[in-house]
Amino acid sequence: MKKVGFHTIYIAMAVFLLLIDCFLSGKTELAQPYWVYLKAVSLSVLVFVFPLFNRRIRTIAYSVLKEEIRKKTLYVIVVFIVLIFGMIHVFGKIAPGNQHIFVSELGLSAMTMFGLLFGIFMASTAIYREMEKKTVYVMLSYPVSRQEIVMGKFIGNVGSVVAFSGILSVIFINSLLFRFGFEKFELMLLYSCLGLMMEFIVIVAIAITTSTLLSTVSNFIFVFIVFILGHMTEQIIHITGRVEADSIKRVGDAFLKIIPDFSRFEFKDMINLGQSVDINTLINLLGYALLYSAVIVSIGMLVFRKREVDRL
Amino acid sequence: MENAIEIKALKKIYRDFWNRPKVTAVNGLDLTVKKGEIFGMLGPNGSGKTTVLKLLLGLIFPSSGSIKVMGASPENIGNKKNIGYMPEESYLYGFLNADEILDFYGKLNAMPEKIRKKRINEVLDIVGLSEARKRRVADYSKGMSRRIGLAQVLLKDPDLVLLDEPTIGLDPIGAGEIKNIIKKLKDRGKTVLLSSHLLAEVQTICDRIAILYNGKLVREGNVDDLLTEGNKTEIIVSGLKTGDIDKIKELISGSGGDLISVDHPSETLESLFIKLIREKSGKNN
Ligand SMILES: Nc1ncnc2c1ncn2[C@@H]1O[C@H](COP(=O)(O)OP(=O)(O)O)[C@@H](O)[C@H]1O
Ligand SMILES: [Mg+2]
Repeated sequence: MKKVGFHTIYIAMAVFLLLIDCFLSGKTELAQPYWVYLKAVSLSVLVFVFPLFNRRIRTIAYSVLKEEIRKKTLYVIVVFIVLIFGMIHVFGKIAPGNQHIFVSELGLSAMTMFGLLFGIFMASTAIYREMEKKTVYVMLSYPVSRQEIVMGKFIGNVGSVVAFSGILSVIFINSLLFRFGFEKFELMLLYSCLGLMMEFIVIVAIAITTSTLLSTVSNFIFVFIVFILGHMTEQIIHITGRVEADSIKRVGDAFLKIIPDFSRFEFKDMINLGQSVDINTLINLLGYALLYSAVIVSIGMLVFRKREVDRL
Repeated sequence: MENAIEIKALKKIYRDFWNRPKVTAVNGLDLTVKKGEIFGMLGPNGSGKTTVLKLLLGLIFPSSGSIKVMGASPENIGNKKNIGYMPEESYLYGFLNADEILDFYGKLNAMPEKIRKKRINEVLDIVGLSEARKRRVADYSKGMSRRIGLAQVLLKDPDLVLLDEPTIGLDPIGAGEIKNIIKKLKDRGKTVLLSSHLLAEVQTICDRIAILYNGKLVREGNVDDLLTEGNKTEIIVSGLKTGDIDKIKELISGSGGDLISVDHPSETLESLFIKLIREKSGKNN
């Protein structure tokens, strides 16, 4: 009798939820509102809670966290603080009327950049560096499955990027509160930060998965390209909409389904236009981000299962 | 008695990006390691020793042939609790210190915290790193890193120990210590498979050896048997005249014996090794 592996349950659940999601996406009225909640909750459990029941995954994830803390991450955060206060100071002079809008927008851009670079730098080396440095040789001589290694790295990286962008968010929001007071504060600011965190989780998932195959530099470039393409979904829709040929349209549609729609995660422009999102949109987004990540990481686990770790 | 390792007709072909064969690192290898023995894989650089160990651990997969380690496939994960591995060079997580690294591996091996802490103290003492235990291993010397590699195996305390070039990068005293540790492992009933290109080392501690060359088994057996070569007789003479050799040859064929060679005696594993490798590479002297 073979025990059912931890990863088998994980992958099966991810595929199961994906199938339900595809099935329900056509039939909006009835099931959708409930499904949005159910999806967000069940995926949160699958991605954040379930793996932590496994001691080996916990061990690996914790060591990732430890590494990130011991790197020079602190300096990056200090740079961010200086940047935010610098912006508040400068825009206080240039645009006294609606400086909080300017500062919100620029601050969110800075957060996007910092979080993105932090996430890609960290996650795009996750598995490949273990192979390159051969540390994975010893790790695999222990009773740890390859899938557990991928999952452990993923959880550790997600934890790191959420903690990192969480700290940036707290600094950012508090400095705005401190400067402009509560009457100018908008919930949209908090939502924007949460949206960015979800975006980072997806990026980390992609980078981890491709790091089972690609070397650090090519992976960095790859993830960056995906990031840019993911922000251009509207343009891609626009282009494929104008093309006559059916086959190209189908390729375009398939492409749009595979590439994550990153533009959904960023509310910067909406702040500028004075628009807002509601909490349901955010929950829907969480479900989308986690489903995407769970499926991508499942693929990573399957790829790494048969990866010869000395073929670089 | 059951064998610790059974390798049958094992082949490993490294392929390039286009899937074309590049190197045949292991080429039809048969090897059996019995439980409780110290087995040495001997061979020059590039003969496939490390590749065999990687295959035994499931780090890479055979092109053909079969492997059984402690009665199971290398891909059996539960089995790994019983197999320890010290790599050729010890690659470590530079951001951790010795204590933390061993704690990490102990956790992966499902050791309860109390036992883990106690055992870590013990093994750090054995490998002589107690003083340096709180220093980041990024600052360790090569020899110290190797000691961590060994400490990690001792912490695990498995029944089968795989050591890739265990004394490389160590000073003579360190190498001697490692040999003692290996002997102690055997005394406690453990099986040890080590690879080496250092002959003296293999000669003194191994029960049996296999000589590999180009991924093939050249010779296998007891260290003593290999050197005495049972049914062969070696006559060592000094100051013999050329004509006398022919007379001796006649005498031998007269008594029904086969003269294999008239050669200088192989008195160490080193000379046997060199002889065999020369034969295989077609460079007879
Ligand atoms: N990842 C790899 N890709 C291609 N060839 C390899 C790889 N690893 C080892 N080899 C080749 O396989 C052969 C055996 O190598 P190895 O097992 O490391 O030898 P040894 O440990 O006996 O010195 C060598 O020719 C080596 O170049
Ligand atoms: Mg080697």
